[in-house]
Amino acid sequence: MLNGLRIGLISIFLLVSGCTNQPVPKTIAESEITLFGNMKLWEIEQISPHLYAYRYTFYRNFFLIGEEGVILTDPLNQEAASILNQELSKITNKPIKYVAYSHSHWDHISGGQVFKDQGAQFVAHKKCQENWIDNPNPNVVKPDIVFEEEYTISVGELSLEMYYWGPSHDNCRVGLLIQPDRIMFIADDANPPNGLNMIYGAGLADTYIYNLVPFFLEAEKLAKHKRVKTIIGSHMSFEDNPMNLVSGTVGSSNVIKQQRLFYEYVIDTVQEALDDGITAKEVPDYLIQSGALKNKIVGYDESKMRVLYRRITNFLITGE
Amino acid sequence: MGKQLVLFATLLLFASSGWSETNIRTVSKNIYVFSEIDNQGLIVSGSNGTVVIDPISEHTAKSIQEFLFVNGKNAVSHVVYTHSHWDRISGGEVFQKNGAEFVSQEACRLFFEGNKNEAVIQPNLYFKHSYKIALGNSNIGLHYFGPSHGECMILVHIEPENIFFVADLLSTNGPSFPNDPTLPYLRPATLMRFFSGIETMAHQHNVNSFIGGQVEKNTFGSIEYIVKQREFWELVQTTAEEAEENGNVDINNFIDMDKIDLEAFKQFNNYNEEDLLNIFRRYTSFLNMGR
Repeated sequence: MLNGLRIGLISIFLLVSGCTNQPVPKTIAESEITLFGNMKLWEIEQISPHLYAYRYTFYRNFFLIGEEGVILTDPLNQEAASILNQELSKITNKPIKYVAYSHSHWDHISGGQVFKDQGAQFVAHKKCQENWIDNPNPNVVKPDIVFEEEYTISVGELSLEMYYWGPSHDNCRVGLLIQPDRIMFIADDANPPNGLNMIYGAGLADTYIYNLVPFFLEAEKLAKHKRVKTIIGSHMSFEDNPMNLVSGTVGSSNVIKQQRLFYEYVIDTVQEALDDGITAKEVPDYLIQSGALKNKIVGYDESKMRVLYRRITNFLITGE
Repeated sequence: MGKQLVLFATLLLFASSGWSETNIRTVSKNIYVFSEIDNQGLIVSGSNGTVVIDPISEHTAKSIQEFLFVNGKNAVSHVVYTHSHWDRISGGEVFQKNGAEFVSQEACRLFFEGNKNEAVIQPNLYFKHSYKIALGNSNIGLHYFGPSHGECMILVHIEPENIFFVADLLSTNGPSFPNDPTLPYLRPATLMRFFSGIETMAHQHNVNSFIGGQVEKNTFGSIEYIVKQREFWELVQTTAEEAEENGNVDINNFIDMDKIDLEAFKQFNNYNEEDLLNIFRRYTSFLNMGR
């Protein structure tokens, strides 16, 4: 009985510590001007002795400083990259070896020329390269290295593992795993503190809905296999109130599962409505009026949900 | 295309309880339009075989088969998918059982293999740029210009009638606002290639009219509508670009509609200011993302 009680208490402790034992980012540089309230326009936070997150407006990347050099991710845009370049020179004199792209969207990956000029090699999934051939942008540095399934870049003892699980948010987004920290990053989704937060773009532009759930299941599988406990968010997010913006730099890797559940809930809810004989045109209003998912989605926004329900209805009818 | 083609007659009307009606109409000696609810496809019956373009559903596919049998036409030798959307291309099993070939553009494979649907027969013949089906007295050309409405929508060119079939993005009633302003399948980055590709082909082959994939008042649309529809999308993009340059876009990527001139948009069918707001929203996203 006592043994059982002891095991139970230890389990509860482990559970609680597992939920709360996250790295605490420490701000090491920030802009003077603010973006919203007390939120600065940009900030650099240190997450571990060699891992940093850089937020510019609502966007975030991260970088690793290893013995052999620096791995950067998503330069964001010219101004953000220029600021980061200046600040980086205050932190380290190591060379910038690599810039890894998380996906192909210009709003995340423009402005890398300042790093290219220093000899950095740019790495992306092969399909990203095809997207930039289809629609070139002079502010996007073309990749030097492309891959199809997995790729790892290292700077001494530190490495960044890049995994492709099929099209999801654009056709070339990859999951990033930082080693040895065992921290993940999935651009545009899975933002701490909660993957069940209302999404920004409810129309799911350039999103391959059919593969969203499989994508996140693969990400969860990797997180479990590699014992990942933490995720870095690529965007600022919000807590219970949509206007209560939080930095959301790091959070539990459980956010990945929550993000998968978000999409599963919406798809299942629309499918049930169609199965019940609700016509495609009526689905959005029907689900809004019935209050579906109102208690599950954090920051539930009726107008966004109407667009999202319409988009998912179209997906279930057409397969795209 | 001669105006005589506008004179078509309803040949068969299949209606049974529990099913949507399939309506089959004559367009020319060898071409028939069939429709179910809002969607329509084509039958091209030649001396060496018959092609069905977008079978729509199992019910419609069976109706087509019966129609061909009753009218002494060749059995279906080819089924062409204009793109990957299930609501247009389900139900082809009845043709597969009789040995028909299923043809689609290569980029459709992503959806057919990634998101399988039992009601959609997988193509056994994929092409990259162009493909020609010869039916003896008729030829059907299939042409791909890049992602437009979805990844893999194609243009169908039917000869000797010399008409186009375009499943989506065009209305035979004239240049129009899209049915769904959230533009779920639009590929803005390569959309203009689709329109310019059609325009070039129309010019090269002296094509004057097209048939669309939706049931509309007019069976045929003038080739001029294609030019005007391209101009609609160009207007959307340039207006969105100007709004970005002038700082008239909010944090959620919505344009301040009070600061733009809407007059030019009012010439297009189904003009709706709220729809336009959402159309712009997709384009401001595109301008930010490149996709």
